[in-house]
Amino acid sequence: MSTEALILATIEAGFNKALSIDPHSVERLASLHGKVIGVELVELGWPLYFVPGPTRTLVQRHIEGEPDALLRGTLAGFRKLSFGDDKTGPLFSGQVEMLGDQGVAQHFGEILASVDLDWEEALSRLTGDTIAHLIGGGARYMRGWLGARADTARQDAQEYLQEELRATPNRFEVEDFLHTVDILRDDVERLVTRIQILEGKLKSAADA
Amino acid sequence: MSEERTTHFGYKTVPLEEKAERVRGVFDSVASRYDIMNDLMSFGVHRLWKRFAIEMSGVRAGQRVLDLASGTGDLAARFANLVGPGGLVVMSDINAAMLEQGRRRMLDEGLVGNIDFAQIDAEEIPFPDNSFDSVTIGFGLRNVTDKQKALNAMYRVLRPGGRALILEFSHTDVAPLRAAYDLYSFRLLPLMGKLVADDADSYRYLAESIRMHPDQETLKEMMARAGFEQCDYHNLTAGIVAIHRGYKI
Repeated sequence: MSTEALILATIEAGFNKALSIDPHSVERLASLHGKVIGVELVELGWPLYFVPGPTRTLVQRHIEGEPDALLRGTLAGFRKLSFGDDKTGPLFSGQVEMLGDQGVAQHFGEILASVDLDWEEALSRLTGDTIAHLIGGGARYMRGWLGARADTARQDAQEYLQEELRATPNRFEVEDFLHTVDILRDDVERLVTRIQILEGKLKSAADA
Repeated sequence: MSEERTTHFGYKTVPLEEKAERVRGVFDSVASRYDIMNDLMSFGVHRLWKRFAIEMSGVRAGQRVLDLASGTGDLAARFANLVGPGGLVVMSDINAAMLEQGRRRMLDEGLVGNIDFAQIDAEEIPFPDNSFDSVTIGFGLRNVTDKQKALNAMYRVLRPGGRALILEFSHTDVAPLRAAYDLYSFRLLPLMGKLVADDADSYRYLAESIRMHPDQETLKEMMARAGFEQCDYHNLTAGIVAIHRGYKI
């Protein structure tokens, strides 16, 4: 009990401290007094429940029944919500999913977006630094790995189409082809000019 | 010769009608330093015990909560957030000085509109039957003269489906911890009381009253006797504190 309660108390204190920097956010949250908003980091797999009040917001691990709204997203999505250039972008792009009462979810999400919250720090409190580092590192590794996989897949597809199926030319064949086209175009232009000269001569001879 | 009815006040035996007055004296004395002493005595852990109790209470928006022996309102403040503008929290204490401290704190925290204050005795709750969704008492039951009577009253004012929650010091079965806890309770606690609140006796009473409080199983039986069903308890910090829960069905 004590460890979990201590972690929740620390998160609650941190959240309220971050909010207190902007009294306007506290006022906006107060309008949600009596609502329960779940915030679920996909990496954790379970939500924390935020219960706004007139001057502070409670953070709980358990509630009875369903929350009024649920915001669900990855650590990256919530970080973008707090620190991205387009802070509300993740809400509208679906990176942070809104479930339940859309009005409540959007209102709370916009308040989260207006407050600088350190999500990785919050996650580290819930999972311990090591696991949070692994999750953060894992996310970065996955991003790199997916990028590399995409490059390899593109290269493999290119080779298959060019070398195996011979359905598309390779870069050198294309360059050679384009060079040939250039020569042909120049030849045609020269021929057109030659024909025009000859036509001119024929016309002069006829006039004479 | 008429036999005088007695009860315990810490380790002392006192006439029944004297206990409430003596308890009132203790809390009048410590009211202004109550929060700071709680933090010092429990190293801040009392806040975590209360958080756990709140989560167990399952209180939600629109409900009516009676918080007995509210003191300075640690539980009541959180309940006022949870019930929202459509709910109601009645913050109560038998001690006017403590209730006044709590009332000021609620105002400071902007908690108005969904919170009422009542100076009441937990044994004689002056509310109609079936009026609350939840009745709680945090670190207060051990100071009540007739605990069974208080439990009966809590049951009476609960609505069917409602639950009662009792957060109270209890008894640890961990032998090494018990020795350290005794040393802490009977030596350090009165010393801290003397230094911070200039009142060693009140804090000696606190330690003694904890030892005289019914243990977990006894309190559970008392709750069942009052009519509560599905009674259970959760030990916190190796049983130094226990949360008892019972439902009115």
